[in-house]
Amino acid sequence: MALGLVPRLFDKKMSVMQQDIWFTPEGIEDLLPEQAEKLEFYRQGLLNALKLSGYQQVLPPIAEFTDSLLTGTGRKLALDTCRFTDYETGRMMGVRADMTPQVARIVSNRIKPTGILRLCYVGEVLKSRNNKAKGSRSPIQLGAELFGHSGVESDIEIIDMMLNCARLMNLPNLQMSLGHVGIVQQLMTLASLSDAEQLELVDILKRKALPEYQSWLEGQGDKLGQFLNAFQVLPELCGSAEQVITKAKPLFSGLNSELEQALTNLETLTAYLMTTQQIEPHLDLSDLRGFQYHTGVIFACYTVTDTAVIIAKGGRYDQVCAAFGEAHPATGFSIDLRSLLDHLSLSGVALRRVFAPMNQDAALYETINKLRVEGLQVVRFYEGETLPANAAVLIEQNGCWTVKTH
Amino acid sequence: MTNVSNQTLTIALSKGRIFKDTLPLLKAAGIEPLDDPETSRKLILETTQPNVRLLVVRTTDAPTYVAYGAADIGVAGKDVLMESPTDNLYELLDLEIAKCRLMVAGPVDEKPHGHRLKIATKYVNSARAYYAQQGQQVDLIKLYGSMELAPLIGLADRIVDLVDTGNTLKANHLKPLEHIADISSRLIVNQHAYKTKFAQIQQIIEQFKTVIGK
Repeated sequence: MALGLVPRLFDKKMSVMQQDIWFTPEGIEDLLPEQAEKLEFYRQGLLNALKLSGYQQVLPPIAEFTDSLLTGTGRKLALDTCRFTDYETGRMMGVRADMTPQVARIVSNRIKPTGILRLCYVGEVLKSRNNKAKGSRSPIQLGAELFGHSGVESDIEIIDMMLNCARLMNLPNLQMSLGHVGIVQQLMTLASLSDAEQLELVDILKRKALPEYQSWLEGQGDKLGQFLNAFQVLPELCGSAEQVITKAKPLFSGLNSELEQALTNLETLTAYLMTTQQIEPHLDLSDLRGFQYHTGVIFACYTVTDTAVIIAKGGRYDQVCAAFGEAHPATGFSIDLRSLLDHLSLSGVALRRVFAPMNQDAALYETINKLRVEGLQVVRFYEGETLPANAAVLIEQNGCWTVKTH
Repeated sequence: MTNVSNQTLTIALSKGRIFKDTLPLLKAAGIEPLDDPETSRKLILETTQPNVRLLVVRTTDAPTYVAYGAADIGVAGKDVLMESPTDNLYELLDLEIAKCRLMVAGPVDEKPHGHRLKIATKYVNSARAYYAQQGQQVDLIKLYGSMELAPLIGLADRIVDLVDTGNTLKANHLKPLEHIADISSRLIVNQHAYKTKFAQIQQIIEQFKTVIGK
């Protein structure tokens, strides 16, 4: 019986049927050497650039209790978090679906800074849902966060970092978008919209479903009062940042100080991007990406060829830390290196490779170490192994090991 | 902005009614296909504007092409957008073409039901959401076509489907019962494309607006 099974395993039909046992789940993928090398090259390069600007790396754990993972604004991650029971305590645990809340927990709970704190991180996150249009299910998230400063200057620093990283990746035709989620929030508060009305409006604006927005406006009747004009023009406050700000200024003037401050901040950011970075940003005042999580300026950068690909995104999130006990203003950005891999290329020079025989001669070991220190790749080879044509090989001559072409 | 006007712009359109009704809008924007999709087998159509191309896709696929960024903009029925809401999309304009209604329909001589309503439909998510809004739980049966058959042979009590003239219902002894939503085609735009090719896309929108509903 048992013997009879052996040939069947190698039956063609059978082995094809069994192949799918080794498939990884949808959206979860191996990186083979070429891709892994590329990823590592950029991971190191970007982390090093952040380090040179004073960002210290932290390494949050891959899983933690959902009590901390999904607290505060992290609630929104509930559907995206793979959850399971911790057999030690009976409490629910989850695999992180985003690293920013973890970093916020570390800041509020562990480091408890009194001044400015700069942190960076890189790691894999996992999303329970495979929403391909939005990106990878298992992004390799690399990011930087600046805590303890609430002014627009720290947003500028973070955008600096983001654009530095984008430029290090040598991607063509960089573009930037700006927004400010506080503006719609202020307008909704001023117009005294109920929670249900706010939810409805946010849903419409997130999809920028302008026909539905028109019917919503008509349905409001006189309720919007003196703010009607601002709501009517809101969807048009989108386009070249300079023009949008010029159009919005008289509209929001005198409504409240938060709105005016938001515009002033956007004006500062636009001027900085245009003069220092030579990028003319797009600005959309009704963009609600990350609404409730973000509290102020939001930004993203893209590389645009035939299609537009997002490189990095970020924004201000002053309320996230508060859920962990200590409030700290914060701003940051993140990149998904996995989604970008196909757009990246290895620009570095390949290492020079030398083959060394498997021989325990002390002089050979000394030579190998010397060559490796010089930055050469020294690979051992075994008796009978075929070497590539013209390979550089270490050969002994008069007790001395020297590199010769094979 | 730099080099905006010569960036490639890809538009996803479905064959048939939507294509025919979108042509006058595209023409107003100075975009005319060089081939007729009804006679050509090509799936990528070049246009009179060298940097603008049209993709010929299935109606239900248009949001997918746009959401993934394979097309920058597209035309999709509100029924498709309601049934499978997709992230990454903006629904910027009601093109007022391919108009119809999403409705509940049932037999002309409907008898009272002693059980939970059985609804046959292609639009399971929209039907579930509609009945949930009424506080009613229903059993849904997913069908891909000939919905009108289901109540006739007892597969379902009612159907949820698009109704245009109502003639198919009438011919099968059914009548429209409840109105769920007015349907028409929308201009959909990829979020990243809207931010990075704004001037180009906005120009097309403004030109569409001059002829919509005329």
